[in-house]
Amino acid sequence: MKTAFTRNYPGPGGMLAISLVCHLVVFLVIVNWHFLPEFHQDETPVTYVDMVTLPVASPQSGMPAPPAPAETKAPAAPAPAPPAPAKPAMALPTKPAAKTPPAKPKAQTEAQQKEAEDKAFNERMAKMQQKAEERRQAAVLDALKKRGSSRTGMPGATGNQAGSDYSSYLQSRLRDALKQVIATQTKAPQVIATITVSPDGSIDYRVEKGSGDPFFDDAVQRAVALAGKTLVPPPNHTQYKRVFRFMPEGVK
Amino acid sequence: MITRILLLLLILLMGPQGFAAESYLDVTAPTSGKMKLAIAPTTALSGTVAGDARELPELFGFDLGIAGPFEIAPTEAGGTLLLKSAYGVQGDTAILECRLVDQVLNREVIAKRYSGRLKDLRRMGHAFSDEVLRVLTGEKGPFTGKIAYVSKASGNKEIFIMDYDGRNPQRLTNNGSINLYPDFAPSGKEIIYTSYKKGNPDLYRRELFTGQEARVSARSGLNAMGVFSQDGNKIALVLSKDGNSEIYQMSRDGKELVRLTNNHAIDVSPAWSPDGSRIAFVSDRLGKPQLFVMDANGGNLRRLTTNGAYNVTPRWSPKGNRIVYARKEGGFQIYAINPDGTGDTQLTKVGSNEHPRYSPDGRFIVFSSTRDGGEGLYLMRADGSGQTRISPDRAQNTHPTWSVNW
Repeated sequence: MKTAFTRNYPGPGGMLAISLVCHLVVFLVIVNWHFLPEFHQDETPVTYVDMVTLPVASPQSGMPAPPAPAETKAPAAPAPAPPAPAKPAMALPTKPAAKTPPAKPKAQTEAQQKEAEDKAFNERMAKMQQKAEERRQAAVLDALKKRGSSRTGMPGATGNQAGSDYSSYLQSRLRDALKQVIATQTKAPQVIATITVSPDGSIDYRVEKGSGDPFFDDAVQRAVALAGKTLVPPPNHTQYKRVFRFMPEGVK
Repeated sequence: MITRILLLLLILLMGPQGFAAESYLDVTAPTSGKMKLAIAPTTALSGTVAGDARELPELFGFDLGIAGPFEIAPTEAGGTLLLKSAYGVQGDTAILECRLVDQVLNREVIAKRYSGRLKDLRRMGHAFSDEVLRVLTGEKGPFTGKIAYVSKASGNKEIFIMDYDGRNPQRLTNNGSINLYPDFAPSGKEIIYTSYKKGNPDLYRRELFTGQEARVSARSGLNAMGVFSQDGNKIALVLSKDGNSEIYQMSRDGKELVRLTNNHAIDVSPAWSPDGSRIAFVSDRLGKPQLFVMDANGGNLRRLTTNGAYNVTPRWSPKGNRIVYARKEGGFQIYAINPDGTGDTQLTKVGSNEHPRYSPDGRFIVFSSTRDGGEGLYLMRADGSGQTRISPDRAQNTHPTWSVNW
């Protein structure tokens, strides 16, 4: 027993080497198999619909200054004698104050003045906040463009990526057409075809891999022809080219 | 040890990326699988459309509807494909022009012009249905084939022949005796059957066009259930000349005879495999009738069915991948099984259903059933769907068999 143990024991150096290799393996497993979130890379094409609308994501963008002071003013006024209906005119917040009757007490005038100052201050703050928000959004968009220009479905894509407007548009048109003409003789046919849309909007397709099901192969041909009848040309007068996979719904 | 670790390391380094599939944009749609086919009313090549020609759209609808791959569209515009036909008469000759148009790709898929006798108009229509299936599926339809069957329409059991859809029934035998078990030669131009017309159940071969007939087996006892091999040169049949029923192989003229089974049990209902190398049959050697398969020389015997206590009348599909048969479960029901004994599937459930036979292309099974009262002839797709009555009358009709296209 002892002899056998001695023969297999690699010595302290060997044990260290094996230990190092084991640690390295565990580390690579963790990194490579995405056990850590920061190493995760999503390889599947994703459609980031919300990203496209980012520049107008803030409902306040492009709107008049928010009526924030209106809320802060109410507790400040001790006796709200002036008519309140004058407030809705956001662009003219000071007018009602000017038209107040001269017989009002001095305390009330000071209160209104303070109120107007608060309002002006709040407006300035709102504008600053809006500008800051716009700058932040622009920075985010730039970052996404830089990072996502080579990835599918990202802002800044050329239109050839999944999720980009034209890809989604064409995918939708092809799906509608396929619904009208689909027919199969086998259970899970798949056709992989390269679709090319010329700058003038004419469509062409090349079958990369047929299904072996003549009914489905023909159906795909008909779907492409049908979709091509009312197709809008690709953006920027460019040629669009992408590989599509056609199959019945529910087939994996 | 170190090598193994390095190998493991290499595999781990490849990681899932090494197997990542290329990404496509998927285009999917729900489907019933069927192609929408519209059928236009028959038009006249000249003058007005004759009465028989008005039936053509119905004929096309029946043929291609029962075929399976098509859904008949209610309107012409609703079809991906549109079948158009035009009919005319020149003297004694009927002319039928048929076209199948792809309405999406705006092109003609197939066009045919047929001419023949006026009474052959339906046959011309069936011929175009055959062609439609050939051009769309790569395999011709069986609609111009004939079905031979045993009918008591005349009071006795006589052999009749009709179109596959039950039209044009014609009596082949008229001997007032009992005639059974018709089977077509591979050419479709000859038929063999068993008749008691001379007292003993003998086997006869008959040429359909000339009417010439020969008694090919008149051995003592039973000469029955004869079936042609795929090349038409041999006939497998049941003889009981030595006491009990055994399976034999015989030359088409009846002279050369080879015994294939030798057992005290009853062996009946031989059925050739399409390549002629094997024969399925029924034997009760284990107590109850079960299906067995043996080589064409009688060797290599093995039991095929293990479910059910009473399985009879096997028939091999033309492609060789299925064997259809009837199982007694109170009444009879039709089942199909793979030749290796797997995939045993029930095809009928209503009434009592017997004598199943495949169409020459294997798309359909014709059989007899009591579901509507008397025993009538029915048709279904090979998967059991689309069961349709085709009996030409209310008489007792049994033992159907389907010929190749005429």
